[in-house]
Amino acid sequence: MILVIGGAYQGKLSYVKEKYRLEDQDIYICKEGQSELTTDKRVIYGLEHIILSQVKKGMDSTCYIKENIASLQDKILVCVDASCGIVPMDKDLRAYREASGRTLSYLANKADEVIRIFCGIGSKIK
Amino acid sequence: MKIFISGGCKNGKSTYAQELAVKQKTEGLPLYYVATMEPVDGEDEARIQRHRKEREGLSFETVEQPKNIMDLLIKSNCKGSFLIDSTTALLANEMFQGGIINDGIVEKIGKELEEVISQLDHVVIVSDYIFSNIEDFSKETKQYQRNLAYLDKICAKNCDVVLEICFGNQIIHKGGNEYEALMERI
Repeated sequence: MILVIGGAYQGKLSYVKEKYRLEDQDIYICKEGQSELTTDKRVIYGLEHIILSQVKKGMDSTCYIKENIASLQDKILVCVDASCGIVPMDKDLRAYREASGRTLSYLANKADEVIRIFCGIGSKIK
Repeated sequence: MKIFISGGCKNGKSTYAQELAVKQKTEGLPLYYVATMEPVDGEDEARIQRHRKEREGLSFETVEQPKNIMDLLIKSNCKGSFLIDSTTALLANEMFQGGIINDGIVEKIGKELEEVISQLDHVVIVSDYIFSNIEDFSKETKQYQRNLAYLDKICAKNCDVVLEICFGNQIIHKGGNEYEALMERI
């Protein structure tokens, strides 16, 4: 499993496509409001949407990911790192921020490789 | 050398960028501080004064260039060591001119920055890392973030060295050897 994280608009998807020579058909894009993961594609992009909608439904995203970890072993997961900003006023967003930190820490621990994208450039942090 | 610097606010980007620009100065050629900020309030004025004070004694010549960054090439004849601080202000000045939002102007700024980087031998460009937050912003703020990221990626791609300043420490994202070589200079 490879985890690719970075701030918004940093070029995470372009990096993954170029580095692993993948096409659009290899990429599963999570939609806003989606809370379940079902994919047989190599890349799962936009994991933050899953985390956010699970939080809004009162689900525990870290538990959910733990339960599904076996199906993620051969995946490249791409997620926004939203953990470094200000604490939001909105209760759900506050919970999302924490859930995203916890879920990404768990995934980073399980991942073979963790890559952080900064201004389009990837650095291997694990 | 062409160096791009970003990082969090008050992490020491400007100060470090000044040091690098001074290091890149060639005997007999000017050292330019390219000022991009158009002050809108007392807070901006204070920041400008603080940066000015920091630059005192470093023999910087200040060039005001809050917009149309390519004009810098004509003004300077492309000779010298340059510090452009910052793309964040450049984008804001051009994108929010006259109370309207000009989203498309970012492509023009991107082309200009590409040209500036290609024409200048010694340049340090400073930006701000404003992307690791919860996305709970207005449409305009998101446009601005997306556009700044677009400019950052152009700068990072075209510069030899890319640094992230993290509370006074440097994380080298690109050009480690070039950076070490510059550091060894007195």
